[in-house]
Amino acid sequence: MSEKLKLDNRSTSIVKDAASHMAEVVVGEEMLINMGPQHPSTHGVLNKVLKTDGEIISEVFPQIGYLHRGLEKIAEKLNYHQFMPYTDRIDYLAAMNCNLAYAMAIEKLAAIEVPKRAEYIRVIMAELNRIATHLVFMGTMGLETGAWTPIVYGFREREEILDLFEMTCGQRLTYNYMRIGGVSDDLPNGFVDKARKFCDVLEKKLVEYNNLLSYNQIFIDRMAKVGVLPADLAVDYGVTGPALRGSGVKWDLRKNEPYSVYPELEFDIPVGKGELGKVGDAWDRYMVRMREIEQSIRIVRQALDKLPAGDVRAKVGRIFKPAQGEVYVRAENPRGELGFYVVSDGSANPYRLKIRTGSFNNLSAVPPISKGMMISDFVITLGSFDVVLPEIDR
Amino acid sequence: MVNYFKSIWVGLTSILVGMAITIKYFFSKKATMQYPEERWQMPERFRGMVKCDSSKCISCLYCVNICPVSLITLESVKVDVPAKVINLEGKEMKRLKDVTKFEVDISKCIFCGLCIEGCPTGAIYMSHEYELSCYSRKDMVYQYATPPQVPPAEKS
Repeated sequence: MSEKLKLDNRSTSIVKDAASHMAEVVVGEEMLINMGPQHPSTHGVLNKVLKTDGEIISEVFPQIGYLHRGLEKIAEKLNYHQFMPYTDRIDYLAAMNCNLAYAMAIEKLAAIEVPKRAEYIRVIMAELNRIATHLVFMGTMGLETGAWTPIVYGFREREEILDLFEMTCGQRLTYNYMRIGGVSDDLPNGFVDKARKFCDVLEKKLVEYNNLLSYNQIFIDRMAKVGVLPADLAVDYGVTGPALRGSGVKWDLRKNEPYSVYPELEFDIPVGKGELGKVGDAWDRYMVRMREIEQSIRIVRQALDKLPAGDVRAKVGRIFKPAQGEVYVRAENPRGELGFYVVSDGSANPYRLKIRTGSFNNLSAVPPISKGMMISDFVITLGSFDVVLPEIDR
Repeated sequence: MVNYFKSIWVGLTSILVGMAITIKYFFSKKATMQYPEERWQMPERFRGMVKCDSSKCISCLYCVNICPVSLITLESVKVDVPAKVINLEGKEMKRLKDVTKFEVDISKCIFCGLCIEGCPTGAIYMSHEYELSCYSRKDMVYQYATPPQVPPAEKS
């Protein structure tokens, strides 16, 4: 541009052009930036195309499909028991919760009654898994803000939970523990004591996490007032789970539409109040999860106390054929509502199985709230929604 | 101006609180394990590699049918003199077929454990082995039955 000026220095019209050109340069050209597919703020592979003006984002286009496995089609080719291991792979960080939702859907479809002991064991497992995934969230949230130690602490306690799962069902990530009509095995010897001891340890460690990360001034400055999701927008986009509760909406399926034995257990629903910023900011979403861990400990303790004796598995045929019909069952997962819509045509395989996951809707609310945001704030916003990619792509 | 120094003070104290926690762990016992030298004690129910004791197998094809990824290939021939097998409930069962091929392609396995759940004689089981890496895909296919003995061709 400066060369242009030198060449036609005397011509006023060209100088005027140059001035207008200069103004354009200051405003800047919009630029498309690829963020991802591999990025630490997502658990999985997600490509975000950002339309940016310098450091400011004007639009976000999430590109999904990197982890598509066609689970819904696979379900049509397998019988009801065989699909259970695949539900582990919907949300690999909370496989027990996914197992529970699928088992409940098929039990409702085939009108199978589950023994009381099995229901309690299921709730214990689901809540322990909820704690485990929230601990991973705490660690990764630290990573996104530049704190490297919390993930080590989070994984240390998660390890204890995985040990409990391993002694119960034999696996550490893809459990396949629940069966249609109950659970695969009874609790092993020493599980109850070990779980109680773990609850006591975790309660002390939670104080440590809060001192280390949650109430750290740098962390708060980074998180508060960033990525504010208003309650009405959250409801419009179908956001569920801790992301919705972070916006101040008290909606939890465990209370509002109780399933399993949750009505018999006492617990509160933590809601974002905007203590340090605005209601619905990233810190609120973070803190709702940390408080949910406390509530999950409460639930696990009560369930361990109330654990009845008896069978853990109802008698279900190896290949059973539910009557014609359809059913939609949803459960409160750590990342939002997980719903299974199952249609049966009376054969051994489901005719159609649709999975509704929390992460998909939660991700759809990210683009509208990230307009006019800095790129580094976008990382925080996306991280605070805690999306898991296999849940989005299925 | 007061706010400026106040925020510096708040930031510093919260760093000190955090550092106190990390320093405490710096001097305490380490949580990690030196893996190849030290090893975990596997719990009893651990689901490792799929194995089969083909002398117990009655070729009911339960595991073949339930496997979601169909990794088991089972072939068998009828025998004239049935052998006896004791099943999991302690009853004697007749073993009418001889297993000639029991192949497990472990590279496909998702370790769901559905196959071992319904086995009537406990022939198929999951061992505690978990270090399953191989150099080629052929090595991942495990053979658990003795192939039929073909009589050597007569010399003409």
